[in-house]
Amino acid sequence: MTLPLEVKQINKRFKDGETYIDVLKAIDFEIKKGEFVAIVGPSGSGKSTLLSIIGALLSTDDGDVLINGKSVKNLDEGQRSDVRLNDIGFIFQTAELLPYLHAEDQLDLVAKLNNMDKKERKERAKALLTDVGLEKRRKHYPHQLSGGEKQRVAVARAFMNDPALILADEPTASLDEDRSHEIVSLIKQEVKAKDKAAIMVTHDESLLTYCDRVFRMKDHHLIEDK
Amino acid sequence: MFHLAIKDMRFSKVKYGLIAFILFLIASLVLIVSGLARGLSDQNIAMLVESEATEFYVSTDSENRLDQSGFLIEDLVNDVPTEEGWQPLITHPVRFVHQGKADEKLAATMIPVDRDAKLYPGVTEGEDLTNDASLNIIVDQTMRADGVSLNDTLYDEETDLTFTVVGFTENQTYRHTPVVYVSETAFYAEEISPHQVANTVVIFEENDALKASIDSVLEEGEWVNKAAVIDAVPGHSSEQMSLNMMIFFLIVISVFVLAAFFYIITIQKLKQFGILKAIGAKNRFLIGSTLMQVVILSVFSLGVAVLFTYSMTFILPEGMPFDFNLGTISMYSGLMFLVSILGALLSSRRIVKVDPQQAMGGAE
Repeated sequence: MTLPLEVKQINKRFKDGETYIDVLKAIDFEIKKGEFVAIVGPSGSGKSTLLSIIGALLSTDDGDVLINGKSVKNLDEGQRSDVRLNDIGFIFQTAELLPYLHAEDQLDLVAKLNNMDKKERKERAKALLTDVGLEKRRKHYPHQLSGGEKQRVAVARAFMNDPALILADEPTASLDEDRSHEIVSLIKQEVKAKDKAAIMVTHDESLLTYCDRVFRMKDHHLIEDK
Repeated sequence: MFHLAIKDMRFSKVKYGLIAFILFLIASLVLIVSGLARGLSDQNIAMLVESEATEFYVSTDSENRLDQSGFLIEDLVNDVPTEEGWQPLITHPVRFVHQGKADEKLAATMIPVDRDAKLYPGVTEGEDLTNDASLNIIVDQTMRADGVSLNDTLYDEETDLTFTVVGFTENQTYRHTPVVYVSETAFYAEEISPHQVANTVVIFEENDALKASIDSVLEEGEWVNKAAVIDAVPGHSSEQMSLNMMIFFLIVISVFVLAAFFYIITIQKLKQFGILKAIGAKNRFLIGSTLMQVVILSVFSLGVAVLFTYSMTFILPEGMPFDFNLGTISMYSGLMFLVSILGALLSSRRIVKVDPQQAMGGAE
């Protein structure tokens, strides 16, 4: 059985003037279907860099990332774009919705980019918005929604193209405590219901109870809590 | 792509409305100025443009200006019969008093013709000239704007003659005056110009032998083509040059205005483009929807501008030289369309350069 995500011996260096700084060293792990994984660590520890590499947004210096068994190492920009569209669902720090589309159209857009047919798009968008509790707010624009509601739309959007892997980059950074717990439990609920793999980067320790496994960034290495 | 473009524009109505309005204003100005340029040009040279004459024999020192060129043609008429394919062209400026109507004088250019000659344009209304000595005239229809109608009489103080308007013709204007055709017989019988003189001698097809024989009789002249004569009509080049310069600058201005507008809008949306790229949208899609917006905006604005310019033809006073010409209109509309696309393409470089990775770790 292919795993949704395999990360193999990743190293990443950034150039800083004349010298190089190691950001990531020998990162190696894998995630199974239905697993909700957290990566925690202080700011600047390389969490977002790691997530960018996993998300085919940034290339790695060594090692490889396999998404659904496919290597992203030697793909060109267009192919990476297709991987992000088909195989990965992104949830960002703020919802990052398009201001001029109502909730249903936000979901419709990513499915349209993926050439999904119209009927299926409609049905999926409706079902997903119902899942995240926004069935009554399908035609609302971002400026008519609260911060929590916007992030719910973003969660629904991440699942729209039925990706194997969900990547959430501090999805609660802009929310208060109650809202944060709501969103993370919602992500967990969807991950379990749809049998997806998910990684959430966070520095809020209280959210770790929702996760199946927890990794910590320490000295550029990724160490799993046992 | 289309739906996204439309939804964005519908959401930011004011922003896109402003651009559309500015494009509409500039396009209308371009179209109106071009209509004016054509109208003025027509008033000045239409008679020459419409003429079947291809080559003109003008005095050597006339700088190709018909009004400064002149020949005595009595010898020529005797030596080389007009049947060989040449005709004299006389442009005689007159000032008419419109009898029983306005006090102001009407300037016109009188041209004597034989009704069977190639220089005679025929009538669009009324009767043709006759070849006798009757003082009937055919006038260009622009004289209608001055209140002239069929059977009106026009009095020329200088010669103390009264002419009757028997017909109208069209596209016959010269040096911003309507052309008035009178029969050659009457013109010479009344001695309106003293001898058998002509400003120029014209031929209607290339004929080197004829050109040589006319040259040998008249001497002191040279053959020039129609374009040279048109260019030398007083005011024509300078008028057209200044108007065309205005049009040129308007188009350059619109490139910069539109490019600046779309550049700013693109910069405002760079973050959105980054997010869209991160979730899998390609450059082609993003540039495509931006261009789609420009296409929709310019088609709309140019369409309204064309309608507006067309409606101007009804509002402008009748004597105003303004020509709504579909060829010119579509040429300038097409040019403006290309210019807007070009302006928008300048910002697509920014779209390509957006790094989708910026979507990640926004707060770090």
